[in-house]
Amino acid sequence: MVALATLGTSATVVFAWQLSALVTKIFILGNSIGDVYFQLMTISIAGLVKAAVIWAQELLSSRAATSVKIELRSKFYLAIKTLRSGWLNNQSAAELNLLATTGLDSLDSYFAKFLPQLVYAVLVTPLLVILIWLQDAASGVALVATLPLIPVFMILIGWATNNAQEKQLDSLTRLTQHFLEVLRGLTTLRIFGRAEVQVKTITSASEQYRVRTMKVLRITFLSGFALELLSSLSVALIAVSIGLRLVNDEISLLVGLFVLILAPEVYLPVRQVGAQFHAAAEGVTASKKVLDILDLASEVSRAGASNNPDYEGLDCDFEAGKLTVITGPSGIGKSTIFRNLLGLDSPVQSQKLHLVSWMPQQASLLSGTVLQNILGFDSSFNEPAVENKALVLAMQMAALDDLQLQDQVGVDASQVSGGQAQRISLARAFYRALTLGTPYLLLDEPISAIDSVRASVVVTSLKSFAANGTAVAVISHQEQLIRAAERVIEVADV
Amino acid sequence: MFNLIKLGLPKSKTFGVGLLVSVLQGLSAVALLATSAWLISRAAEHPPVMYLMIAVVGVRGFALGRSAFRYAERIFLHDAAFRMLSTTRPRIFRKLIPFAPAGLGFESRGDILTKIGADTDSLQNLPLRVIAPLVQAGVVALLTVLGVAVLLPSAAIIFLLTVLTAAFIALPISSAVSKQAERKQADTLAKHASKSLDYMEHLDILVAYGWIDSALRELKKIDEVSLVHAKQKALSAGVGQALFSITATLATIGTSYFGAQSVSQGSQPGVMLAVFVLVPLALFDVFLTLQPVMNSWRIYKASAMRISEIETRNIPDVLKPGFGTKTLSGFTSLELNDISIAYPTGGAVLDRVSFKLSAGETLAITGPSGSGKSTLALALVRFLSLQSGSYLINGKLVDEYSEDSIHRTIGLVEQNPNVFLGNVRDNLLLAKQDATDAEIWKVLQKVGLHEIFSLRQGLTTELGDRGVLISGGEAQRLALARALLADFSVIILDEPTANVDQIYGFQLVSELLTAAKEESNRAIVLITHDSNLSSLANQQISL
Repeated sequence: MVALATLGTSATVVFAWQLSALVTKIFILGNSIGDVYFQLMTISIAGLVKAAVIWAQELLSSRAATSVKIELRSKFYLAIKTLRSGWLNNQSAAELNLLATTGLDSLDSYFAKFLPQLVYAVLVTPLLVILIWLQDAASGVALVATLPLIPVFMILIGWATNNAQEKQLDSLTRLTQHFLEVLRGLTTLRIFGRAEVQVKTITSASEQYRVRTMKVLRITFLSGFALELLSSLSVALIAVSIGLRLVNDEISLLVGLFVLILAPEVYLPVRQVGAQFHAAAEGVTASKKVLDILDLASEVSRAGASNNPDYEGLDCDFEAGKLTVITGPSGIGKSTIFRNLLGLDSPVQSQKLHLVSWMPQQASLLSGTVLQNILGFDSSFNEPAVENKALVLAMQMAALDDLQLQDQVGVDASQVSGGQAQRISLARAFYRALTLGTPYLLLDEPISAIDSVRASVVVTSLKSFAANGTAVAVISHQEQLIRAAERVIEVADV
Repeated sequence: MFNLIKLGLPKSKTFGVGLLVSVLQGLSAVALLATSAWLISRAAEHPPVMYLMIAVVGVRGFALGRSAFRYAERIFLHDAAFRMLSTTRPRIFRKLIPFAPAGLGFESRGDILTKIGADTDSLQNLPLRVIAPLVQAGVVALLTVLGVAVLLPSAAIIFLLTVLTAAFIALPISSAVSKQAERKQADTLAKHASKSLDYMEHLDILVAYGWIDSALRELKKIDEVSLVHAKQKALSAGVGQALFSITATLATIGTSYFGAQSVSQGSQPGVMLAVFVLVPLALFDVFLTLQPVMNSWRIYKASAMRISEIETRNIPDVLKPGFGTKTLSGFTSLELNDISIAYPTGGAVLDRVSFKLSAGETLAITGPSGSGKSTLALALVRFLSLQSGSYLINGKLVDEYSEDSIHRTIGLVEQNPNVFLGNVRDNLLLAKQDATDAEIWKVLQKVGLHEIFSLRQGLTTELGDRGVLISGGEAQRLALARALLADFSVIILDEPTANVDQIYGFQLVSELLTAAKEESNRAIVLITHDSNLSSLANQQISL
């Protein structure tokens, strides 16, 4: 990046110098066109180099952005894995997802737009100032005097704008939302005979929005105005001063033109940094949040060093070969019993997961096909479904008879019915129990959304698991299951 | 094309002023550099300082103008764009009224409407980000090339060629390539977002089934694909920018060469050489504002096409039920005789349905999804007209009553009740503008929301965007409270359990029915796919 910036700047300097030389040779020295071929050539080469630098820079910065993003992202997912559900349950999954996706995506503009300009502002601007100073001290002084004003102005104006905006923000958001809100609620408004009235309301809310937004924009645009004014007036100042000194022969035309061409280039990166600042800030905020979560995760993993796998069994008295049903009023924490056995909410890695096939209360299906949900996404399963005996059996036992393996379940099981989702979730647990022979089968409300005919198929399946020596524990309110149980645990109010 | 442009074109004078100022801004930028170049060159000839004074004033003036015009341009153009929206929004809204909800398609109508809203707002792209930069770059380029042409025709030709190349080749190329790359990238992003959400929401399953590593691998794989897309996108953006930079250099070389030639031959004064050399740089600077134009136009075009489709849409007959002038007051009975309804999208949905409902009765309408239950509800509130059969209220044909009085008598509680951004009071006043707080609390009490809201901030409790701060069951109760406050004589409950846990559904509906009947002789139509709920009604039909 630095090398590119240096190369690009050198090209700009050569470009400016040779343009000035060309003018001087023809105009002052009275040379003919044949004497400036060298200048024309170097100008072309410098132009080509500049173009190449622009292109390379675009590639480089996008690559940097994406690789940083990918790395942060995969670390973020690992951190969530470490922190586990106990932490995740107190967060909004949608918000975290937004952070991992669009949040980190906004790092793009940080790397692709802000960072290169920052490099230019830090590296190129001083370099050019020194160069100009060496050629013409007076212009150098002018630049040094005006440059620091840019950040100062920006901070002052940014502060004033923020103040103005914050005051307006609340009412502005409401006005922005107004049109979308009444549109979305159009049917409701019609039902209450309020739709026609809204036409007028929309007009007045839009006008109000315009008036107030313009008030804010007048201040917001001031910052752009101040920056432009500052840089163009400085360039004007330098031009006029060069002109007046040229009259008195205090400076040569060559140097004068050279400084005139370069002066705007000095201000450009500083202005760009200001322009890209907000876009960049978003990415920085997102990555800061991600880094905080990474820190938290590394603390947690230090605190809970993992123990050796524990083959002793679960800390519970569900008997092997028996169907145990847990009942009790809702909200008393029956699901938590299973979750604690599995160690799902504790940040310390549970070593007992390999003993259990678990079905959660919500179907918790992943977006993908029925097959992917039962076998997992990574399965190397390629043979025709009929040849996977465990799969066929698991589906029969879960009474999953009305879906094809390649059917999509949709995001959050939106493309299947509640009963279907529950039976896919059951088939998933059964398949695991059948293929891995897990000693425990823990099912949380397995038949609450299943019709009674299919539910009895499921109950028979549970009995046969128990008959084959598995400890089957089920949380349920359903009479059908309680009747089939060999042991019923009533969880009472604690 | 012409109609599309007309859609987002501001008709206010402000827009014209904005465009003018925008052109002046571009001209000032070019003039600033040209005058500076002339000033310095002229000074090198050592004239008396007073000969330079005009140029000195010019340089300062153009510098000031460049930034002041830029500020004014942004203000005027934004004002014009907002004015355009102030007239477009109500126009679109009025056009949509008869279409809601039956004429809008079947799935998530709220989303469709929100999308139309976003499309309307995106019309401002045209004046701000398409027309203004095009007019500015076009006029400034034309005038600059003309200016050069007057002095130096040979240079003007190459100048014109490079300008055309930049505008019609370099910028479109980068835009065309990036369009494809962007589409690919959008697909990958969507895929990544859904996988990522799965990961966060179903971490338990991934952990418990030992699938977490494969899930992480898959996320990484998608990310790596997006890396490739990003590279492609950067490549094309880079190609466009580099090409642009090369044409700028070519323009400079061209004017420099011909300028140098004519000065050395004596056909042009030497002071003009610096001007010829520097003007292309200034013009191409102005051209930079053209870079996002193609992209903005694409965004605008997509939105404008959808909006213009809406504006030219005809209202189908089924969405135009007839109304009379008679005022409907009091309700004794409602009667459907062999009614059939064809949906706007074609095909008879309801075929020969009949029932009679008297004040105080509850009728359950059951049937599987797609059997036309909601269509029937919309016909009852007169959002749809009948294809055949008759609909009588109090023994008279429904067409005789005024629209207003029908809507005061028969009310619908939608399947997904719309909760407006705002507080409890805002949402209820919709039903009755002049309702007192006491009246509002009374209906809240009836639907069982009294306690919940008095524990929060009372009637000023915020309900959040789309009611996110309350549960699905609470939203149903709130919607019923609204219907009770409006004091409809007939209330239609469309799938009141759609967003509620099955176990609570029965309880909710029986409570809602009790609330609706309390202290009144209301007639209730309960629409449900759950045949268990029909036991709560005293008559039932199934579709």
